[in-house]
Amino acid sequence: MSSRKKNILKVIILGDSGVGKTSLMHRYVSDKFSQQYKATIGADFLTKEVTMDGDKVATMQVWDTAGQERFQSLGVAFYRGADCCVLVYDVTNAKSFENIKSWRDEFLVHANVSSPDSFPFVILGNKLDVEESKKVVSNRAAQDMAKSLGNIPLFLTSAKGSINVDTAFEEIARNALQQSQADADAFEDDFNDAINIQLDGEPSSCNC
Amino acid sequence: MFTELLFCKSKVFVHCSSKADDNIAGFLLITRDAQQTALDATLTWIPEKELDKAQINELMRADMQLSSETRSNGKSRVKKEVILQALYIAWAFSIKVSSIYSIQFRPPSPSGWWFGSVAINSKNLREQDSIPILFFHDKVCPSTQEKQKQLSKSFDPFNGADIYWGANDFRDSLLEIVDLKQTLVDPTVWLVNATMDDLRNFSASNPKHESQGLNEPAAQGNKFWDVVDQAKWNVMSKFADLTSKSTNKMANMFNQHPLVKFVDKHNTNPYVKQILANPKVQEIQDDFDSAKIYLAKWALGVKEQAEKYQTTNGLDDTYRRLLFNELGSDGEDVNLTDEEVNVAMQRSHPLTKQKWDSFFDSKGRLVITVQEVKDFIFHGGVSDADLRKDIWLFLLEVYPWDSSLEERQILEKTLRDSYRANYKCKWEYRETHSDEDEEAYWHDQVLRIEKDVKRNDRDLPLYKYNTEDGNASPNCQQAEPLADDTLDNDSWTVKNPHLQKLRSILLSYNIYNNDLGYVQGMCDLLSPIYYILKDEELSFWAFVSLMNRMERNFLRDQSGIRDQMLTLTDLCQLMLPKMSDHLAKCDSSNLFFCFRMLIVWFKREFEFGDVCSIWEVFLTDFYSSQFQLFFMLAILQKNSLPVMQNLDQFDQVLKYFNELKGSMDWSDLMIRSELLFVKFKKIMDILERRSELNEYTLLTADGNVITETSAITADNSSQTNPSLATDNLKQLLSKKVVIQREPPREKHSVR
Repeated sequence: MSSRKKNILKVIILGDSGVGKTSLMHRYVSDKFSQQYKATIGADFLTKEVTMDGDKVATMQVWDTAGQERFQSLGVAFYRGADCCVLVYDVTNAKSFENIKSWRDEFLVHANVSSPDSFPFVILGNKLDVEESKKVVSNRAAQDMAKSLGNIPLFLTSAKGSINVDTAFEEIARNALQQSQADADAFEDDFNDAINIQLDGEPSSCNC
Repeated sequence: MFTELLFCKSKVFVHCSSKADDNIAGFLLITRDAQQTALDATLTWIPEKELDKAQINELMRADMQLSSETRSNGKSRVKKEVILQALYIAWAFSIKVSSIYSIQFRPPSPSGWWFGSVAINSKNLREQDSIPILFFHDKVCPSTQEKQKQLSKSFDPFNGADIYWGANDFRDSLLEIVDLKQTLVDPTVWLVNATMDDLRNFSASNPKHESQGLNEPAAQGNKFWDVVDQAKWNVMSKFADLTSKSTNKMANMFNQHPLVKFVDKHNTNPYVKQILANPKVQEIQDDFDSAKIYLAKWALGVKEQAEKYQTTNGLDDTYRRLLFNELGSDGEDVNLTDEEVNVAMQRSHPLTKQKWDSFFDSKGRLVITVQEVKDFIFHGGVSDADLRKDIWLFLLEVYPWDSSLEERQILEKTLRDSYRANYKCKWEYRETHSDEDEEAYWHDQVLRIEKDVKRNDRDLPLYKYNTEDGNASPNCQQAEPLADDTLDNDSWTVKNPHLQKLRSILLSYNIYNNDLGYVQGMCDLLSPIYYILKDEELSFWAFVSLMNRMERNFLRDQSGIRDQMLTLTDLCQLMLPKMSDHLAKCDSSNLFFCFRMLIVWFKREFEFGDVCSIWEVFLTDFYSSQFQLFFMLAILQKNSLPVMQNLDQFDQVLKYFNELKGSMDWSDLMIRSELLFVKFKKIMDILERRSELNEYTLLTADGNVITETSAITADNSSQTNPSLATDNLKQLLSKKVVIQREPPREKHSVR
């Protein structure tokens, strides 16, 4: 594995269309917000340098995706090598919240991650800035859902109001870094195993 | 009985011999009956001596009135018999304007040695013999004198415009009736309603435009630097800021870059010098991975500017050589002929209203072949937005090409009624569905449509303001059209009438094609259609027609778009093998990075006006019903060098192509697309012949047929292998639209 992989943390943002995936990415990476984003087609990413725990420097690659389900079947190419997956719902849209679980499953099916149980997800409930009366997903329901999916960290954010976005992405970065290191270790183990197997196998192949 | 007088000029002479005494004074007229189209306008010359006093006076008055600036006060007319008698008088003639092939305007000598004259060439040889050369005796013509007097008051010696003489009025009148094109071969010759072939023949060797001012290159230079400063360097410096500062590493990389070396050789090019001398080059440093993409783009930008400099300075030959070199450099060695390159490069004659009108007879039926019309659209596009409305209705097959005006009027009414009764009504007065899932499905569809309508092309004035009349409200600041705080959650209602119509059309289409459902990107496809037609009912039917061919891009299982990407992979392998190999090394052979461009036909990559130009070329199916793949191939071809030299990862390639957005020259790409198609067709022919050779039949003595595979297969280099001609590629030679439909929707499938 090249040194490149170690430097880059790959983060995928998933969620229903219109929940604010593109806005969150732009808010985090360039601290900008626009009302004029169009529906995302295909996939794109932005990068940002991150420093964690004071000294660890990495490049975070944030991937923005299309929200419509049927585009996922072609888009899986860029799931590969992900270090963290961000699931986004809209606090004013109950359906986008209900779909969080299927987005997670979708990701696990296609991403081909080494250990699905420990792969890091982070849930973001976006559009926190809207007036209370329009919010339909309660904090309680969100916490329960995050817990039931395996204690996934949950953040309520607003890309527009710049609320909690940086905090959330710091957590995302930490999770991604851990995952990246775990993967690198696993790879080394695999590599050693492969050598061992070959050494072990040699006599047996002579036997036949 | 009267006929309308569109043009009248007195003192137009026929010189019957070299003796001045034999000169005959007369009137040159253009007339048209009520109800007649421009095509039926008649050009007549009639001698003064055949007219009575009253007629002469009337025509003199008409001459003055028509040539004055304020000629809007009432129409002039003339007795029809005046025109008819021209057929029986010596030297007089009366011909249809549409039968004129060309007109030569020979201005008078400034010193007055000779008169200005006009020679008219008819398409009809017999008619040709009856048309004498017409001399404009400006000194004795009152209307010309009057105009000269007026013009001399505001005379500007540096204006550089043509000297005014009598035939200018004639030419101006003709310009309103027919499509009149000055030829580049001989600037005095103008073609009337020229065919595409004529335009090619008479303007193939494009000389420098004389009108080009001396200070123009300098102005362009400044503009260029503005763009560079604002766009490229901003991005570059941002990257530099992000990363640690090392010394002149990046500057070295620039100078070492093969493309920079390439343009550096062109010392005569001031842009290159300026770029390399720019201190900002020195500022850029990098050890950051993604900056490679910008380096690659920067290099391409330099190259493109160098090319542009050469074309704007009349160096067509350089551009031609460049196309020859670049398109011949990869893949099968097939030569393009000069003529093929000329045809592709000739994109400067957009369809005008006059030209378009000349395609139809008085019943509104097409008088030339559909392929000829499409040749015009494919190679020149459409000159203005109003005309686009007419043409797109044909291109999108709302109107059949062989219909008459009356048939179209009837059809239009039927279509409008049908839209309202069969589709719009169905959702406007919708009753709750008994099935809960179906009900949920419908509401989900409505939400999806609204979500995308609300964020559709809001940068365009038509869709910008969410007010009932679509204009900026007086108490709302213009700069912030969406300043309303509630706009970013989904609960705001669409008030802009045009956005509302997009919503209505998409909902109606959902009724029309219930199996497909709304898919993101469909709003992108509707937006230009509605923008051009600005008519809900007709836009619906035009959209139905566009979706007929685009449905394959949106299928639930994505098979249609995947098919196109696989075909593109084959195409790239055949035409750009080196690029294809390189993309495979970058994990990019699935061409996923082309997805966005293909699914909505480059809508997101180009300015709105360019998108319309690109689409109308695709819609002609002139060479292939899947010409979008050749346009995509041209983008790959154009960018192959920077990609191969700088990028080696999937994410870099994706980023590189995503970032091409807003920086591509569609016209150059279209020329390349056409040449790539021509080359592709030649290669396919060769492969076809080879496979016929490889598989030949032997007739044995007793008459049995044995099919054998030939031994030629020893020469099995990848480029000559007939198996490269896949079925996918063969289909690209067809003009028949590929249609793939969504299978019936399962009852519980909500997605």
